[in-house]
Amino acid sequence: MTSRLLMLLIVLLTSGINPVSAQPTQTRSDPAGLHIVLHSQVSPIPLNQMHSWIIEIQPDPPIASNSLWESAVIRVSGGMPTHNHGLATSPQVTDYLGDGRFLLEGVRFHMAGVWILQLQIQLDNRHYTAQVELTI
Amino acid sequence: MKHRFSPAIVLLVTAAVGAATWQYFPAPLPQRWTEAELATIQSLSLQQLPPLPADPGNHVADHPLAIELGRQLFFDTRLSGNNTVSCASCHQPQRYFTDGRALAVGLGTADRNSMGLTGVAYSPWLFWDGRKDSLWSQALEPLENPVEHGANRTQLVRLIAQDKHYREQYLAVFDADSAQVMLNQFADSTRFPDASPKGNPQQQQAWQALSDAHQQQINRIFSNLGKALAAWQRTLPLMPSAFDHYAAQLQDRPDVQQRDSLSRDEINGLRLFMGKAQCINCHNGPLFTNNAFHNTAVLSAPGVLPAPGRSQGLRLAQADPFNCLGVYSDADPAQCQELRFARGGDEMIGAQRTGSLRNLAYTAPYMHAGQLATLDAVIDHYNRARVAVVGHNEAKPLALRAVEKRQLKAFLNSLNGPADPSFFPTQEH
Repeated sequence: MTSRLLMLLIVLLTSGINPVSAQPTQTRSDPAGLHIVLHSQVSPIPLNQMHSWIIEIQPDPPIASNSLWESAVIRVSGGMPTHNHGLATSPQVTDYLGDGRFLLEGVRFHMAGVWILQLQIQLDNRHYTAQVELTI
Repeated sequence: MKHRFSPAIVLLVTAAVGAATWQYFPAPLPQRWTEAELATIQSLSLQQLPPLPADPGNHVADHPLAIELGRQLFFDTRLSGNNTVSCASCHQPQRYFTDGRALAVGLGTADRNSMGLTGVAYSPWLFWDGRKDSLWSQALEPLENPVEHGANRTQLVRLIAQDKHYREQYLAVFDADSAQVMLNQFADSTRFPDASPKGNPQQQQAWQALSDAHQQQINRIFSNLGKALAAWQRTLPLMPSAFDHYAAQLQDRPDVQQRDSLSRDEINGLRLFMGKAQCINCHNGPLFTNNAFHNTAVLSAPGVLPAPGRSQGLRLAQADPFNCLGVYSDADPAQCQELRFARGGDEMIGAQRTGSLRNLAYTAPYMHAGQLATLDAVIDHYNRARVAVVGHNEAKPLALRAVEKRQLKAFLNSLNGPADPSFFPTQEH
């Protein structure tokens, strides 16, 4: 049993290319008004593995109306600028989890390097864009 | 008598010697790998291969009796239109499940190179253009392709119904009470003649004449054959190469770069693979493939239009009745993430699936139509990175020197498993 746990620990510590710990990634919207935090649901951010993220949106001033949150539209795109290609998949926001948090499913990074995730957010009849850079 | 050389000749000779030195003189190796390089090397090792991914669409994916049934089906030439072609005709164990041909040959000549099968269960998409989203669904298409097996759906179902051994095994694996009743009726070739929605006009007509219920029952048995074939293919072993031994040696002593398992050229090639040659961008992980789709401007075969690649493959997969979301899949729709979140569109024009780089010595020729006969040709292709005929080439010119191309090739050859793959299961069991 101990040896199995040790093997599992070794695999977890050594899997992937230069594993990047999934610290939340933060950014601000354009135009200003939203603070956005992205959390990978798998840590370290995996290579070649489908996984989900949580998109947490903190408006200033805060929004209390649940119906406004539930009617929000969020689209995610992105890619690798240095390789001139987009994402390997088409991630989609599939659920509103409450407290300004949304479930983003269908993310897979298939190459190591710098990735850009771009968000288009429609919230309370306003349109915002935001971008984060990730090094996988 | 004094000889005098003109400055032009001296300059010319110096330039020629300089150019030759530049092309053929190897760069010195640093004493040790960096921490990042060591982590990357370990990520490529077969030791890091995760357990087989589940196949939620195939409830018998790891069923021992399904595996055995799949093995027998794989080598059986009765799964063809003229009793001469089996899966093993193009996926030959002794060639690491390829056939040594540019284009596969069954009842006719196909338009694609036969892909190897070791490690295939790790890929979420199958075929060069990813037109199948599971191994079990992939296994169905060649059976009915007129230039491959050339069989038809009712013929295959009849074989299971009429052959005593197959029938017993089928019922043991797919044991629904209705299975026996279904097999009994489909054994009657008068009532159920050769028929398939993909067959010749006569077979298509016969298919249309069947009731919806019979079509679905035949499809169910047909899809179960694919599930058994997939179950067996999941068991094909991956054998360590010289590179894997090297990675293991580095784990013991990461501070020593030179080890007896790889030559200096191979180690230099590994450095190029991870760096200047950029191979690792797509050929990453223990199988040396990201199983994704890339346009690298591979020319189409002579006289053939450029292949649309993944842009068409995804459309076919989405429309496929045997996909993960279809009624013949055992998956919950929520488990079909690859299909639900797949990305197609213009960027995928001309994109083909990244092949594994393991065992290349046994799997030539290379690329989706076997356009490149040798590893030298492949390395030259990526070194030049020409403009793509369709879509855009993701690769950039590499400016590899002659010595670097030789070293890169040496490294690629360190990824070969044993030359005698007698460890693969065969027809005799």
